[in-house]
Amino acid sequence: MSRTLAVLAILLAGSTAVFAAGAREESGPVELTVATVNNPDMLIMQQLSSWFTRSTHIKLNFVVLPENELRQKVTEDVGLGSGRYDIMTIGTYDAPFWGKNGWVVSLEPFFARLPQAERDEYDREDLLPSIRSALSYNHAQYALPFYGESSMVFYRKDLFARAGLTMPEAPTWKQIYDFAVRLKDIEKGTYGIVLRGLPGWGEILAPFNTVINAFGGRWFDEQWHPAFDEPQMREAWEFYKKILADAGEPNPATNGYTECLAIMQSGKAALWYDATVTAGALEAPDSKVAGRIGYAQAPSARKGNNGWLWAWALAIGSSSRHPNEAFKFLRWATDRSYISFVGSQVGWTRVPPGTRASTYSNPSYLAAAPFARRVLAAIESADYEHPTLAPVPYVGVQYVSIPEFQSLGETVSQQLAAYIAGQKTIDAALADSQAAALRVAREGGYLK
Amino acid sequence: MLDELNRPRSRLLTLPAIVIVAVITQAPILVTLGLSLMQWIVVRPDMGVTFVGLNNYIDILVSRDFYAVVLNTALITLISLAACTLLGILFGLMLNQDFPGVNIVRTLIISPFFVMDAVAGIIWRTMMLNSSFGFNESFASLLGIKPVDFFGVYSLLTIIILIVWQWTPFFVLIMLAGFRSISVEVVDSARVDGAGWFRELLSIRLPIIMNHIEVAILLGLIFVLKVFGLIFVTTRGGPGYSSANLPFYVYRTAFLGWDVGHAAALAVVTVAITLVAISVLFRWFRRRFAESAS
Amino acid sequence: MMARARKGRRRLRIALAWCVAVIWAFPLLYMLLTSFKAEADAVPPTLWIAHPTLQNYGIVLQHQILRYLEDSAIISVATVALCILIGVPTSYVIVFGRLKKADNLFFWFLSTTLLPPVAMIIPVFLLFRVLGLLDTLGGMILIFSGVNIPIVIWMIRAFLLDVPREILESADLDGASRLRSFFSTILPLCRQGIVSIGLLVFIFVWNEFFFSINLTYVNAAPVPVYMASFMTQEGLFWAKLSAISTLVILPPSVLGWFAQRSLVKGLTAGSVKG
Repeated sequence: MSRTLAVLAILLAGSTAVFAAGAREESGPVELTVATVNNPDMLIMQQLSSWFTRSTHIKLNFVVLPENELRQKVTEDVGLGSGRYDIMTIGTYDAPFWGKNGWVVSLEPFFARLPQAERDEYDREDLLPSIRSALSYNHAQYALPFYGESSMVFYRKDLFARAGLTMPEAPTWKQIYDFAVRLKDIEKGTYGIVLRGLPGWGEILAPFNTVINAFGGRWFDEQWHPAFDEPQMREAWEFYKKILADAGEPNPATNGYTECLAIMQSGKAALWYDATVTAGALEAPDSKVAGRIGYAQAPSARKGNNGWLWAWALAIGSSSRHPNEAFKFLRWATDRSYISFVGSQVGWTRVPPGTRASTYSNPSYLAAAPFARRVLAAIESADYEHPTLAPVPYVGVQYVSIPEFQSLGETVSQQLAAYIAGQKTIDAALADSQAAALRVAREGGYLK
Repeated sequence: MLDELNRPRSRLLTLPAIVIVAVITQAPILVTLGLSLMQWIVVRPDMGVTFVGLNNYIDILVSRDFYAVVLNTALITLISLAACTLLGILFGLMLNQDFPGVNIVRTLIISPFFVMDAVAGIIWRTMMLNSSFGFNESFASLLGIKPVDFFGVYSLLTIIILIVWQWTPFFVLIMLAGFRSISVEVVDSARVDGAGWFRELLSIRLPIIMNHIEVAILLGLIFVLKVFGLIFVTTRGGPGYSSANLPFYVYRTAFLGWDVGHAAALAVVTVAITLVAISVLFRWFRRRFAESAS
Repeated sequence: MMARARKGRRRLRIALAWCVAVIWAFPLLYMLLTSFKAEADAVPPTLWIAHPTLQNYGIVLQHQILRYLEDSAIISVATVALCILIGVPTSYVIVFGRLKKADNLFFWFLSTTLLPPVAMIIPVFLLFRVLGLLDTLGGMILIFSGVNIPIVIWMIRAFLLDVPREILESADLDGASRLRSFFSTILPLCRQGIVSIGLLVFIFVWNEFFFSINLTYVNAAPVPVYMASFMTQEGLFWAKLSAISTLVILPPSVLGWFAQRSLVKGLTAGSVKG
């Protein structure tokens, strides 16, 4: 008996010790917890943040996760009432309804309190307008962007020359299809085109939604009736499958952005339509196709101007206990001097793209990134608020900016993948997508 | 000594276990049950949290996707368990020898178990089976055929293969421990002269390690039913729902749809189904091999 | 003649074992290989390394990894210790205690592990938030123990049931005290079982992804959280992922290697000859 008690006592003591070890001290300088995505620009920011700490004595604790896990974790944190992140990285998709839900604080009062000199130095007008508005809700800005992108076409100049083809500045999807078919197997095993096929609202749907828009389709009509039964939508689905089947990579279901990059960078494809940030990766020193890449605008069909719009931005959690310090970091990480700082510390090719107009008039940046002006044009012209031919009740080019889109987009992208893989007929896939969208519209209270 | 164990004092030995296990694991189950009766969509705080009774359960039971997912789960589980058991026994026998380097061979066979399932999934998806730059593509172009669509058309089969690859080591460990516990004398005394190794396996070795086989299958059933990471990084349950199992379906509902109520109801249904499956299996084992109780 | 044939068959079996082992472990051996490749050479697959480099290890071995490793080590070891300390005696009492409805008790223990981690996260998150256990080592140890103790109970049960009746009864006849006979007689017999189950629980906790990511922030983050940042990127990441995975797989593999010694010992005297 006493022996049993002794064992229990030891266990108790042991677990208390572990509990005590788990609790860390809460005193000293201000500490901010930052949740961020693991893209290269953010990793650089994490590296360089020691400078920020040195000058402001604000300590930063970073939690770095891939996009899906990050979104899950920050939503969980605010939605389930934990509120431990001071600063969260959110995208243009999240910002509007995060602002609406009151999960992040409006930055307007912070800007209003800034002394004029600092306000001028930060220069909000320098932030690209399309991105600024995509990060706002009710005319208040909720997040400051540190990374921006649109989409464009990448093609192999050398293969085009060999086949005697010329890429127009603003190609149509029909032209892209013809090019791809012509260039297929021009070298042994070369794909005419590589396109994302990985299911996911942020994977295949990013380029595919712009194809829908280009063909004149849309997700919902003005009354929030799902529009999967419209002929233009059907056309878009059939086209995407056809171009993949006739000239694309085989079995696209496992190819997301990174896999497509690997394919293009190793010289295995003649064409690729994807994010503008790719230009930097394709021209990197270890890329086998550096110096052989040409660029063109996002393809059109019935509608032009189909480049998508995306930005990663920093926002302040509404339950943060140090919002002023957090705002200081937001400003530091997104202002002009940070960009020059990255340029001088890490290199001008690694500067975060797509946030400020001044980046694109900086001669050092333009020298390092010859494609820069084109990227700027794509981002500036992306029509976030009117992405489709026919009127729609939502905003967002490559997504529908409602919270339910995470799930609806995933479902529809799976239907698309099943259709592309030949597991489902187009009628079945479209019907199931329509049903899923209808459920969302009803249950979310959009469709009256 | 055996009778002494019936004294109340010795039952105190079970108290810490019961308390900790109860608090840690029953509490979440109770909370899950509670949540399953609510409607709570995290990303729509404007819709609030409301009591909806059994509506979530009804929604699930009338949804076509749910049954597809249950079927997938059943197929995955049954086929994986059968394959794992078979391979576990065969590999266990194979590793039950002594030869130079047997430790290395054992570690190699067990190694898939040491790696995180999410990482394993990525390795298979890109380096092994990718149709453009994996070994899949290398073999295909060598043979002059089109690369097999592992994660598209054959998604369910591929998931089963990956699960078997990762969980066979678990079975091997248990079977090996069982084989190791069989002494040579026991085998010799029961052996019929001239009987081959297969006969010996079936009539002598397997019955002796039946306890181990039972544990392996029961625990294996639970683990395979809970597989999530592999599916998450490879097929994401698709295309469509063709490779989604119950845990993945719960993930989709909870962390993409942020529909806590439906997800909780799904979780409860999953537990119910698993409980039924295990009790059936458990009772079958009890009846067939009743002599193992002490 | 017979001896030579038997030797030949034995050689064949050994060769077969090696072949099966290498093929089975091939994806991981390839991962090890890839960890030394330059990122641009990670795909398409080659069995040789064009430009061998240690730069991947350099990138993943940033000084912050130490904190993650430390948290992982504490959580894993403490969980294994707690699971064994609590699970083994419990299993012993249930198997030998002639309790009424021992089977139901076993089942109840098992039923607690049926809830998939994915489904448990939101309820556990809410509970931990209320109890202040979010982002604490103690919280992680508790939840991992709770999930794994039933497994320990079940696995030890199988080993206990293997103990021959004669040994049990002889211990009884000696008049040895209950606990002492447990420690001196029974325990050594299931030592290999305890080692195996200890290893298994260690691996489960060391590699556990979902709870690790969702229930920690910065103070109790184990290694899987660090690994997650290498799992997808906007750019090629496979060589780096291979490097960090190779590092993370080392502790379980090393432990597994040493655990084999226990696995090899037979239950009764005399080694088993193949």
